[in-house]
Amino acid sequence: MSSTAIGMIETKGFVAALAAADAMVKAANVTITDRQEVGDGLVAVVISGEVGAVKAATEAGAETASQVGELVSVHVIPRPHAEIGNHFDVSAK
Amino acid sequence: MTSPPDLRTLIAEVVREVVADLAGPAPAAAAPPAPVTATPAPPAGVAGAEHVTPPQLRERVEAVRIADDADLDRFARQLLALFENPKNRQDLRAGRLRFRLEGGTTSAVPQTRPVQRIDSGAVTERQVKAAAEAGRRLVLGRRAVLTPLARERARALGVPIEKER
Repeated sequence: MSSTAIGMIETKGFVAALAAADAMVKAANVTITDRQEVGDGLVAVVISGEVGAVKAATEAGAETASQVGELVSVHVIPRPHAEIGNHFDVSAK
Repeated sequence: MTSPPDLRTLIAEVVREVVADLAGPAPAAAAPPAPVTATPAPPAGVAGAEHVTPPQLRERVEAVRIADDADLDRFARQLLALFENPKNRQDLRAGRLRFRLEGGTTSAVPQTRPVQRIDSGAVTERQVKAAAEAGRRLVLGRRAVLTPLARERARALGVPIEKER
């Protein structure tokens, strides 16, 4: 789908990531597609959905994460290329 | 037909006017370090010059566009050429001839706005909206994270955001 987007929130600490994930799925019609723990306490949550929904969800998730713990980064990729699905676990197709 | 005495008085008048103009009102604030006392000798062929400029304050502001190195080089050369002319030199020193940067003056605008500093945490759309209403610009610390929606809103509302590295 052309209007699909993926959103990512990375936090330092598991609790902030969990809180952000909860806030994201509650804020808009998005689904959690992946959770990555790369070590050093960094946890990333990946969501997908419509572009507007993903933007709204990451907004809410980022706010919650920064209240609960430490927010590291937020990013939204509207219409990700199909190729990234072959190498990353993001099912935004 | 002008007789020699007439010509002499005409030249004397012109010289007087030019000298009066050059030694005219010195700027109070600019305070040039060494007042230029050189009185340029008038060129020989100015006898017929009727359009001698009156000794009044003529402020000129020239628009300069500097977008790249070539523009800067051109401007420097133009400035040198202006400096060759004693009159322009005086104008430049006295601040009567000034320059204004044309186009791409976005950096001049945010300097006038009060700063709202955010050191850490998420910078959301709401904060950008509040900054826009208050007429502030945002300065983000190293650990502040700007959300995509906030970035879009800042662009739409024209809120300057500066991120410290």
